[in-house]
Amino acid sequence: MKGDKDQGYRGVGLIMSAGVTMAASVLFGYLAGSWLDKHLGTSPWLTLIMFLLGTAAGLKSLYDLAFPKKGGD
Amino acid sequence: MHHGPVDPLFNLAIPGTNYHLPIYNFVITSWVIMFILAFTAWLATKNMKRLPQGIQNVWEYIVEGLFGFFGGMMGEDRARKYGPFLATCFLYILLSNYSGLIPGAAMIKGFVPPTSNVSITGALAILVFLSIFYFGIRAKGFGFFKHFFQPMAFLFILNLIEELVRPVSLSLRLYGNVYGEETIIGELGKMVPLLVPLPMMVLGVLLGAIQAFVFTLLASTYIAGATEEHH
Repeated sequence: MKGDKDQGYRGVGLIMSAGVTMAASVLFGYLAGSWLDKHLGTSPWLTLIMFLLGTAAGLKSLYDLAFPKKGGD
Repeated sequence: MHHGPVDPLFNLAIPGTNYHLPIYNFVITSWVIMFILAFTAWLATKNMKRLPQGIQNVWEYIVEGLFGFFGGMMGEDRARKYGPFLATCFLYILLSNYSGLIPGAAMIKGFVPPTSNVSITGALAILVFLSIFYFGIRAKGFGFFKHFFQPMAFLFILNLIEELVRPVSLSLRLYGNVYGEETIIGELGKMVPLLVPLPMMVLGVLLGAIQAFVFTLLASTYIAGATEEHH
């Protein structure tokens, strides 16, 4: 019974965290890319690549949150 | 990063240099919270009895509840190992969030919950980030770094970004929620000080607990992921 309740809280927490996780990944990718571009003078390519990589990493971290590698416990 | 015209309360001179360490109001609040936690914990464990009484009872209830929760998340023995760190984070964040709900607090300029400042939540998130590496390397040695190349080696860059984004998302989530809620209560309080901010404050009670819970839940998920043995 208590385990079920914990699982429920866990689900709620994970869902509430999903939005910011995705946004932060995209933001991180973009900022890292533009920082690298500024310092390496490769504008706009690294921004573009890092932006896409950040988006991909965001999707992957959502996947990892939804399906932990070992069933969660 | 500070929002609005918040001046430091006073400056602490660093001996031997020309630098001054600005002490903001939320730093004081944070110290008070740390003191409350440490002092009550010290009181509760000063002379422990077999049959818990008074404050020892309260603390045992809190600690047992939290450890039970982390136990469901990562297994009993790992909860015993990593629970103290996670539970401390939880209690500190919870008290910080609630410190903004002290009646009238939102109307005092500069009195804000420490967690509504991104440098405090950033510090908490960096602690979690470093603890993932520390606990992971202690539990698995250099095998810890293998998970960067799983399930496939070419995912290394995605895994790296994912790892680096964790502190960013942890700190932004906590800071954003608490800061937003504080701002709404503050603005409502300026417009209609009586009764109107109450529904938001009720929401604040709920949100404060949920945000503390989400932060520690994610931290425990990360630590569980970093320390689990592959069979």
